[in-house]
Amino acid sequence: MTTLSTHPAAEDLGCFIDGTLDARSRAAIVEHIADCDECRFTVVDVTAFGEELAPPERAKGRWWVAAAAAIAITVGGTFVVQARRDPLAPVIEASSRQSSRLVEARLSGFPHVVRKAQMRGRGSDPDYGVADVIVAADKVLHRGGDNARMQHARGVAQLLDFEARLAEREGDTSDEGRAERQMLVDQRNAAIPILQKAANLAPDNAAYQSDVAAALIATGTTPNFKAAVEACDRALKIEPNSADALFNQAQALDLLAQKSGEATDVTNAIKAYNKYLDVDPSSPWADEARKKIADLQQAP
Amino acid sequence: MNWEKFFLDSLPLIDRATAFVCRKYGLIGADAEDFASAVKLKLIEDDYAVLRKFANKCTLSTYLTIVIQRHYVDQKIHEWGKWRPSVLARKGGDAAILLERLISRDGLSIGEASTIVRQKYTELDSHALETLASSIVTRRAQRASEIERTEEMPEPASGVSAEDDLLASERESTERHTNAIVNRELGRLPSEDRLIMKLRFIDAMKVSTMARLLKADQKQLYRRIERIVVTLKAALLAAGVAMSDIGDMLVHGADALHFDLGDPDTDPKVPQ
Repeated sequence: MTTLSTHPAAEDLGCFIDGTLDARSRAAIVEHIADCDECRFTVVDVTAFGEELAPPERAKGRWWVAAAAAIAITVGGTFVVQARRDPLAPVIEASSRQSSRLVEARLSGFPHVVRKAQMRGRGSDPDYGVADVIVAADKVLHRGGDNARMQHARGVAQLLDFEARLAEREGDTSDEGRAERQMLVDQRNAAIPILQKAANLAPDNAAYQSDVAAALIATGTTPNFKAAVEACDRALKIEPNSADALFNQAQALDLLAQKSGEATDVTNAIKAYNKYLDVDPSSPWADEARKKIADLQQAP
Repeated sequence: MNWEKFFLDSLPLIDRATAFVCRKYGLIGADAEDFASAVKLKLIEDDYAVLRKFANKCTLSTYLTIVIQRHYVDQKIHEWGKWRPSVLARKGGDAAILLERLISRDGLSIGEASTIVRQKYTELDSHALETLASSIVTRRAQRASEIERTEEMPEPASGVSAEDDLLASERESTERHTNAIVNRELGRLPSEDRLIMKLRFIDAMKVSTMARLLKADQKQLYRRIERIVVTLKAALLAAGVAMSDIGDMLVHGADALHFDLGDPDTDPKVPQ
């Protein structure tokens, strides 16, 4: 491989950015820009300009979204229109294709997916389903905007990104796998302050409070389960019949009961699930709630 | 080939690329106009030498943007020395770069700089502006503290306690130690891995863009990034860097990573 002693000529750098260099020349440029900040900044800036000039993928997708939206409106649906506006739409879509729900709790706007106790292991995931969630979440994490909606989207994306990466390593018993899992577990709290910020920015939004609870539940610690119950209380003050908040509150109480084993905690959790079922008696979430009640009743 | 006609036909693209560079580096008003004129002069001089060099190997827009961006950097190095926007400012966008330039380069106070920035970017969140401004001032103070004091130099204004000083000094020492180890470990990585880490964590480049640039599979690239992060983290922990010091940089790609930017005097020259 040739090592460049000077900055590459503009057109050679241009070929690198446009992807038209042969492997040998590309390697030489990579070698140079790995240590030359000036050229790396140029690559980053010019790549950004190229994306601004001609976003072919977005343009290609736009007619399809518009057509689908028109069809949806014709048949009275609004999902496609919402999908176009919601920054989380690709994450929701990727998550809905998972064989097991990535987070235990219920995230607002996400369809029901069964939560399996044993997640997929490395090597048994040939369709890269989890990687699709990581890719979709990454796009959200890099979107601009500091309003409540984008903060919330980034918080949810952060949560799912960690959970997807954790799921990817489930069952990997190698030292490397264990180390990677531990690193992810250490970072699990990262979504909470982002979601809390969104909730603070939009104090009338019950869904944001409920998603804070979902992130707290995901950490698996008793103090956070208690904090999740309180976050759901705040959500239910705003929207007393919020199915998301009622479900998450019941789940947090359920997890507290499992930790303490106290009869009163078990009773409280069952009551909370029943309260949820009063609001939502027929969805797949309701079936899950009934199963949870049965499990709690059977527990010693 | 009629190079004058080629130049005139390319003017819309030249203007757009120039405007992009101006936005990127916070050039406004007369500064932006001066730069646009300088760009055109650069392209016209020596009988359109820059355009003559274009051999159609890459797209014209990419070529022109590189030429214009490099011209800006050369011009600014000539004017200011080696000033360039910090990683934090680059991440914060045009307003952040403008704010940093006004404070760091032009020596304006936070209040003066913020007023100018707010006039141009009326939608800007004042909290974000304050956070950025205070980080710029902190960095300047850190740089100033590295200057060896002599008896002739006046004492710095005393608004902080000895305890604050001690804490700040400990924090700086930890940062220096961490950065030295990060740079050492990065230096041990293969060049492509080193580049991947910089693009991802310093430049916040999207993985999809990086995959296209490096001709890599996006999903495999994710796994590769994670492997590098794990390796790096293990090396840092082994070197005695506390988890709390590195967690933020690895998770958020923070400005806390001060990579060696090289010696401006020994940097290779741009070919003419």
